[in-house]
Amino acid sequence: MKTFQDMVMTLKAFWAKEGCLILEPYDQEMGAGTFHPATFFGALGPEETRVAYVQPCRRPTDGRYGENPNRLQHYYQFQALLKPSPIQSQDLYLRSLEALGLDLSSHDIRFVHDDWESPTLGAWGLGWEVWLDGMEVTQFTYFQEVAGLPLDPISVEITYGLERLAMYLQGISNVFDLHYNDRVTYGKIFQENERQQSICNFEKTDRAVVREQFEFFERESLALLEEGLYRPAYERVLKMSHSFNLLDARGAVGAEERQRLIGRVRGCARKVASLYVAPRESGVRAGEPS
Amino acid sequence: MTSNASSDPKNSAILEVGCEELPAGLLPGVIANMRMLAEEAMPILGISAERVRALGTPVRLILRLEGLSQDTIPRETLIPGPPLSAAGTWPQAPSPAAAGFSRTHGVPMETLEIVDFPKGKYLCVRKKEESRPVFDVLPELFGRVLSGLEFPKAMRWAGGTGPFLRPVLWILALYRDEVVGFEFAGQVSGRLTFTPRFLGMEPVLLRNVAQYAQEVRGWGVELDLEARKERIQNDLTLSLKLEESSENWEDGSTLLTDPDLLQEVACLVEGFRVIPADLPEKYRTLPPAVIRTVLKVHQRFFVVDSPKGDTVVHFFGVSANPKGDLAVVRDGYVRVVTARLEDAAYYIARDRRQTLSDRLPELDGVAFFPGVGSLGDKVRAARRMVLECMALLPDAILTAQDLTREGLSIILERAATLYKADLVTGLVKEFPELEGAIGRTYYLWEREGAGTDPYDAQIAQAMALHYQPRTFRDPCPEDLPSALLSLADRAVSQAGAFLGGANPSGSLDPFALRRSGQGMLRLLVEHRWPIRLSSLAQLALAAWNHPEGARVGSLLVDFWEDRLLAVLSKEGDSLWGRAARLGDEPPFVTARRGEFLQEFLNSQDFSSFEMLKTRVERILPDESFGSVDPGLFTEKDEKSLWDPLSVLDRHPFPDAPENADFYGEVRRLKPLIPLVESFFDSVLVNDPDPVVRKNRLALLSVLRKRLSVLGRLDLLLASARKERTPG
Repeated sequence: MKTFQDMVMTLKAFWAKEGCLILEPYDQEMGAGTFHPATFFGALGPEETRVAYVQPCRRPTDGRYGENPNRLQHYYQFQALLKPSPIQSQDLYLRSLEALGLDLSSHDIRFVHDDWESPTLGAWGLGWEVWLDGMEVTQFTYFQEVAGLPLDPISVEITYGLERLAMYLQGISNVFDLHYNDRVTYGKIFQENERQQSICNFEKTDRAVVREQFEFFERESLALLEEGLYRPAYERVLKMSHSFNLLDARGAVGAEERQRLIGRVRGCARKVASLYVAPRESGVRAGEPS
Repeated sequence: MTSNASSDPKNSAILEVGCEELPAGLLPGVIANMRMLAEEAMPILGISAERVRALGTPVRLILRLEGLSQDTIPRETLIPGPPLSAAGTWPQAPSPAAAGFSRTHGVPMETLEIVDFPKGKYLCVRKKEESRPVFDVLPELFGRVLSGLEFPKAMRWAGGTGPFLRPVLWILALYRDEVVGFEFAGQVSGRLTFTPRFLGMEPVLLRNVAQYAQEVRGWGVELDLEARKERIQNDLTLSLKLEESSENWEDGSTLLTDPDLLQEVACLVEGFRVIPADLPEKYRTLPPAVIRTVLKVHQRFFVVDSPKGDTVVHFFGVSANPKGDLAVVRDGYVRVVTARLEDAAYYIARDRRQTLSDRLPELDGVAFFPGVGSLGDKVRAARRMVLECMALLPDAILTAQDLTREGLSIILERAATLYKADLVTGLVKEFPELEGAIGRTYYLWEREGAGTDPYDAQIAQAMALHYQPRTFRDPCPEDLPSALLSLADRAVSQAGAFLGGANPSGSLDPFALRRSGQGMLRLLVEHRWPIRLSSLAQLALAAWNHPEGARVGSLLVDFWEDRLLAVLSKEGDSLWGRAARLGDEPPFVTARRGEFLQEFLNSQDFSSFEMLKTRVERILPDESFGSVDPGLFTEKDEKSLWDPLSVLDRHPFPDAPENADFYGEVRRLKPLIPLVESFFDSVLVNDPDPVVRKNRLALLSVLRKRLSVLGRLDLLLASARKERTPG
């Protein structure tokens, strides 16, 4: 039996062997591993990049008070970003599934068209959901633009939904029964957290305060951008995005207002990206690692 | 040509582009385009073949040319250069333009020809292309076909390779046993193909074209999309019979035919295996709309209904791995369906703790447009609005649907109170595509045991169907309550958006107001409601009770006018709408006039009416002239025109918009034409005596008013003339 932590270690080892830098999670709330600066900044600019990491994701609206065997407001993604995308990307990915112990010949594995878009980051790409016997276990995307900037070279982003994949590998139908290691279940670690966070997200969060926070982080982000401090400005973008997600979970955002708020996050993300890209275009490096 | 060419009697060529999985929704179009592009390019290149086939699977685009002529057809082309008038003294002292032309084409000045075109004489170069071995031209053909493909969204990969639909992994290009050499999207063509994914995507080296077909047969893959669809459908039917005869499934279980799904599935698999599976008992009582959405939309499974047709009991998955482990794959399918339905069941259980009415206050917490109001405000505005709209309808429209005014107002009042309450339920947040349908289900559940209310079914239906039409082709709801609610909802939403400053501009229309507006105009046209756009805007803005209302009123009307033109346009041409639209009349009258004009334009009467109308309009200043006084007539022809015209004038046309019969009006006006002609022949309209003159103009203005109701005949004529002019 492959435990949850075995899986993570296997994926890290697999991608390390493929030349990936193995980073750690970013220490802020975010809705997806794509928001990790290693991917946001990594996909921009000309230099070759190979990086992989686990990123905890927070999606307040997906909370189910720990009562639903398949849905969580906090879960893990494992993400690899390869730039430029190698021609054998799909093959590499399928080999990573084999490394996890899947016998590909007995399964129905499909790459089902799913163009990916993050309106908050102004990013989009083309690719697939990977279906393992009908279950979406991975999002596979060739980024075409980030923060509204066309990319060259192109990155491929491979995002594993770790819990789903683990449930599949362990033959388990309730996420809380997952074996995190051979003694401790996933539920033991996270179920109570799910219950409390769901109550907080759906019932307790003060909408007015979160709206103020959104405004505050936007002001801060814009002010920091004025100073050329795009890294901390980007952290405020993450905060704005999370504030938006909290408002959404509280049912406080109508369809029309949604567009406006997302547009404001995107506006800041664009400014961050153009500051990040600008110095290299004028030949001066901003001290970013290459 | 090499001597071993005879090894392939059919003289065939093949192009196979191996790709990472192509989007299933686009594959059929791409295949069809490949064939079209090949058929366009072949005559240009002088290539002829007995058969051109385009085939495809999720990872292959294939072009097969069979029965190719060994050599291209010799061709002669005439390339026009500068006009003779600009060629200087040719050929002795050519102008720079003529000299440049001969230089560009690398031919001596004397060999140019003068050719007479309709536009005048031109210098031309005649180029002869000798016959060439077809093998030499195939690279250009294949290159043209591939680079000619257009995609709604193309991508780049690696170091910027592309654009193409998905990354290209290999290109197989053979003519008989030779490689057709070219480069495309980062790949050099060769004689390698690859086995399907379920066979490991192993490389296979091909000696010749014939071997390709053998290999594919060996894989058990059907390359032709239509044939693959047929195979899948046959296997589904066969599988159903097997399950019935082995008594796994009840006799009479029905496999719902679903051509769209079949096409999509056939574009998701190369080889395949049909996998029958049972829906777990526990979930069979969930609302069928939820189950069907999960099976079909989320998972691309085929739904199998119980013999009675009221519940979903089984389904088929179509696995892309014919060699996979049936039990493992089926287990996975059932598991993923379970996970989704479990989530639905979770929400239904939670949702049912509250009634839809209980949820109404929640709508006040959902922002609609900042500064305009909440979703709750919008619902209240729509409720006010829908009753006002009902008041504008004549009784006949209600009785045609067996509705009394009182009954309809009860239905609308209740439906419009609750119609958005399902948006804040958990189930709709999870299954947004089921908005409306869930409202209907929940409402009917709530009303179970509440005694029989004659209106419940119609209320529930309006809650579900007011979303129609969702797209340009989606039908409008037929029942009056749904249609009126749809109208009111759209009108207040759009008024709200305009109040919030979210008017669409240029390519920006983030709230899809144009689509929603077009749906609203379709309702007005198709239901033939006598409602004017100005009244609609007034009501919608009044329903919001917003201080800015007066400011946006005309913007809103202009926007709807524009949408009406879109609804009435034919093949993207707004002419019909423009010719048919006269002022602020109810849109269905315009639509009816548009239909009339289309026929009228092709009738013999059109040009005489058009001439008459132009003549009258030309002589009449754009002002009013009071009433006609027959006592002032001095000519016989004045009186003979006025007698029948005054009769008509006592019956205004149309007396009510719903009665507008344009053909009848043409019949009534036609006898006047010769009278008008005699009038113009014998009567001097601009008589020196101002009183007589004014009286004659007054007579003509009665005629003008009458003719104008037919529409803008001048616009149609101008456009018909333009069409007939060549070039």
